[in-house]
Amino acid sequence: MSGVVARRARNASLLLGLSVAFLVWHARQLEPMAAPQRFTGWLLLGLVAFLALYNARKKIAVVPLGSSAAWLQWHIYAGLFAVLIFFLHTGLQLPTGYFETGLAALFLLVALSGIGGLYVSRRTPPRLARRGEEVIYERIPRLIHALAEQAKALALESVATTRSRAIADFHAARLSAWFSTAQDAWQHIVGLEGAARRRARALAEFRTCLGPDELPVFDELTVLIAQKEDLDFHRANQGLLKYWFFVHVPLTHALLLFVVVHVILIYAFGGAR
Amino acid sequence: MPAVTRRPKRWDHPFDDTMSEAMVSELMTLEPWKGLAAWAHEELKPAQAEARVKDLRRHLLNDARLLTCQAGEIVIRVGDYGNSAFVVLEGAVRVVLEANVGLGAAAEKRFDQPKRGFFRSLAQLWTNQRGVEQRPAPRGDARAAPSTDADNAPVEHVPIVLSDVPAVLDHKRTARIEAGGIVGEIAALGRSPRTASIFAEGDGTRLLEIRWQGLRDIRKKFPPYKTYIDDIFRERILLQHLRATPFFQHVGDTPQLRRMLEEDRIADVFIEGLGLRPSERDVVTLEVAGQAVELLPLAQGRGWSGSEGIVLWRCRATIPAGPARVELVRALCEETGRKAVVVHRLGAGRVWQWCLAEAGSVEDADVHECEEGGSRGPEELMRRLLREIALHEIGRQTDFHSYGEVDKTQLGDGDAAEPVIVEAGHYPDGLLLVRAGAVRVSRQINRLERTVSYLGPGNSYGLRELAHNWRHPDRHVVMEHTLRARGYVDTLLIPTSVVTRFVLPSIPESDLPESYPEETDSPLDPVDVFEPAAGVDRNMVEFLVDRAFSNGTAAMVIDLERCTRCDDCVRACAQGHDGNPRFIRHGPVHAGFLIANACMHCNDPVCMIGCPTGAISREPTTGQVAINDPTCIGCATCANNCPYDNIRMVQPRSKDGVFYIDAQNMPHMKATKCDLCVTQAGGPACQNACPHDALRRVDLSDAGTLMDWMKR
Ligand code: SF4
Ligand code: SF4
Ligand code: SF4
Repeated sequence: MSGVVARRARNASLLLGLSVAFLVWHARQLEPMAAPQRFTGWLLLGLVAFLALYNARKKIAVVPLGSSAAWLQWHIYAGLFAVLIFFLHTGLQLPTGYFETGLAALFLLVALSGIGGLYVSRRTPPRLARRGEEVIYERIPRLIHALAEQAKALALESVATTRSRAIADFHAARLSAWFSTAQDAWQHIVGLEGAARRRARALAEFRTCLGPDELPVFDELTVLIAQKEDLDFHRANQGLLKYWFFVHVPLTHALLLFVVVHVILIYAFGGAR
Repeated sequence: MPAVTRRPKRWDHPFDDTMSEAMVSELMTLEPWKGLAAWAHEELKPAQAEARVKDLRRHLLNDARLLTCQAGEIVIRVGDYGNSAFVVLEGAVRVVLEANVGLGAAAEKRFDQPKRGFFRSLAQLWTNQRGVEQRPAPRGDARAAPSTDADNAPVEHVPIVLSDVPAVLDHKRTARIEAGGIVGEIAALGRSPRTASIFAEGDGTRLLEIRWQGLRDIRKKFPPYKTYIDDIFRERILLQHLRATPFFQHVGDTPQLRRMLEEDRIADVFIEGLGLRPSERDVVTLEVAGQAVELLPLAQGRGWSGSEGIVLWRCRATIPAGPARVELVRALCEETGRKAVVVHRLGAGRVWQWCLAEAGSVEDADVHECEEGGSRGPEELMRRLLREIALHEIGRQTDFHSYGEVDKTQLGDGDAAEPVIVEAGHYPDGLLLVRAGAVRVSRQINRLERTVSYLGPGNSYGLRELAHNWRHPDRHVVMEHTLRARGYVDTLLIPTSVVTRFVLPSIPESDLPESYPEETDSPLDPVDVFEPAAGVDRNMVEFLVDRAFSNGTAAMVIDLERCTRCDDCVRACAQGHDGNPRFIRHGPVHAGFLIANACMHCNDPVCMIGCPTGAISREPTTGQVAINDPTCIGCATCANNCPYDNIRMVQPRSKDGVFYIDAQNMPHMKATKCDLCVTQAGGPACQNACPHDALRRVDLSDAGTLMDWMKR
């Protein structure tokens, strides 16, 4: 068993053990506890605050507060535990009123975006590592532009070198727009290959119509197309890795705001028992 | 509007602000400076001499400081990385000759670069300049405008004193260096750790500490000093390297090593494999006066008259003086097609016998004989020839830049640029010790030459073969692997005769490497100490050697199967470094692992060679390579020298965000690179910031460390 798998197994069983122990304890305490919801509420608040602290820790990376990898492990498992506490806190009942519904929805959205982010951050890197050259996200538009220029130059040159307009026309009609920007983001993210397959079919069909002079030029163009597909793949998937964060973090900020209001409301209007 | 300011200069930051012209004048009355000034006045034209002496004074004023030590005060501690050497002015210092001796708690005290505490780490979030690469204006000549900034203050000398000097002198073997002598030059010039601890013998010992850049420049400008330093460097480095080599631990005491050196002379023991083609290494057997004489080529070099291709031969037999020697030299010239050869006899103690056939046809050759310590005439020429040969060898072996024979910053490209040091199938004629650089170890596997491992500083090769041949004179084996130099390599070759006479008999049987099994028909059977351990990825080893990454002691390796490209590492680095990351998260990839464009803190940091101000140096205790920003004059020598392209030149700006330019409208520049977060309390911020444990600073000089991390 590799170190990582062992760590995951250990942490998951710890979480499971803790959750079961907590559930049993909670069930026993339910009767004697004067205000069970207050206890789970404050626990949940503490957990949410701890979870939100991770983002603050990231912002002050040079301060010696432990490694970010260790923080992430705590963040993940504390986050999962918080979901359990959330359900205990709400008693698995649907909330009443707009505010409470909004709060519950926010919590669930934050939790879901977190779990989604975790899935994406585990699934995507190996896919990226296997596909094309490693590129820096911010450089991709420039690289795409360079490829588009190369493809255009190749198509235009082919008119002179092959004394035929076939490749230039094909480029203008089918490739020029495709080369100009990143394409097929969702297909690359989900892992569907429909668009790529259709393009491959079209290219194969077109290739059968070319003369011997045109074939080398066309093959060069095919290499550029493959490179562009790799760049599109990286753009889409690296973008996903970057931007899920922009869902999770603002939602967390909104959640924190709602939680504070929720606590004030409970205490101000005697909801707290 | 850019800010027009004076460009930083070489002499802006003296080693010690308090050094004065009067102190320099006093120093000029002491050796070796007095002698150097006298040399300049004797050998150079008056104007040149004047200028040279002025230069010397300038170096003493700017690159040196005076220290007065008490008895037992530690001057140098073994294992530290030193950036300066010490000249004894008055009194004496003691060099502790035993490795890793316990000199008491005082000697263990270390002065690491002060790290920021928790609150300073926190405070830097506010105090760090807000914009990118913002710096205060260069302060110009520090003597005119002393710094008020604590970070830019010169390194303070903090004395550490041994508690019981007489006890140390009683129990430890030490060497005494008196006034005029120099210590610490090996580490200062060789960018390597200190090889011995040194302490002041008595109260009031006066030392002159010279920064490495000053020593380097004085050595360059004063040839007699260069010769002096090179001679002691050669002798000390050889002794120290041997002392630090495990098999030589058994030989043990220094007198024995010394005798070994004296018997065969340094040039003998100090043969370098690189310059010799394997074919030239073969023993030549000649028939002289009815006797078969075996001759072994030792070294080749340029002659004193500039003639190329002189070979120094070692003769294994006693040849009587007179016609027989003339005959031997002529036969050798004919056999090898060379115009000049030098022969000396093995094991002749300090008495040397020489024969020289000078340029011209073999028939007209003039054969001379001489003994060490002879007078003028041909004997003198002979000695000069020997010296040139020895220096030529050393030029390819030591870390001295100014020999200028090898461009150490070139990694070489492909087999053609990788000279063979040892060839598989050849007779093992010595034990190879690697002092610097990386050596590719390869073997034939299915008719293809495959890299199986690499050697770095401190590694050796050939002991197994030599031990086998020594134990089994009837069943000799040949070299199992081919060893090639990956770029610049610095090696020592201890001849088989020395190894079998002095080294092997002293190693306990249990510590000797295993012999080759009886049934080994071919030495290329896969019984191999260098075979990569189970799980070691050969292709990865090949990749590391091809790119010469094995030089890196803290390379940034990123596991692309885990890296989410979040750039937290980049942001963390920028946060601690003027808002600009000190690396690029990009670089060559192998098997899903990326070696990023970040300084690797090399075993041999060739970027340091040639820095005019010495702004780039090694941290004293950890050896990290860091640039001192205020001293950097932006000349880009280091950036051009780094073979991995890991130093970036940046344009500093003022607090208002405008670039600094000089009166000629040229922008100021500064060299920047990863400093391994040497002042950050938490260590490398990039590694700490990676949420997915995808980034690690790895010592690639040991492939095992990387493999362990890859398999985590
Ligand atoms: S700058 Fe280059 S040569 Fe110098 S230590 Fe770093 S990687 Fe090595
Ligand atoms: S160790 Fe520090 S300086 Fe070096 S790359 Fe990492 S964060 Fe930057
Ligand atoms: S912090 Fe880690 S996961 Fe993020 S880009 Fe850097 S190496 Fe990759």
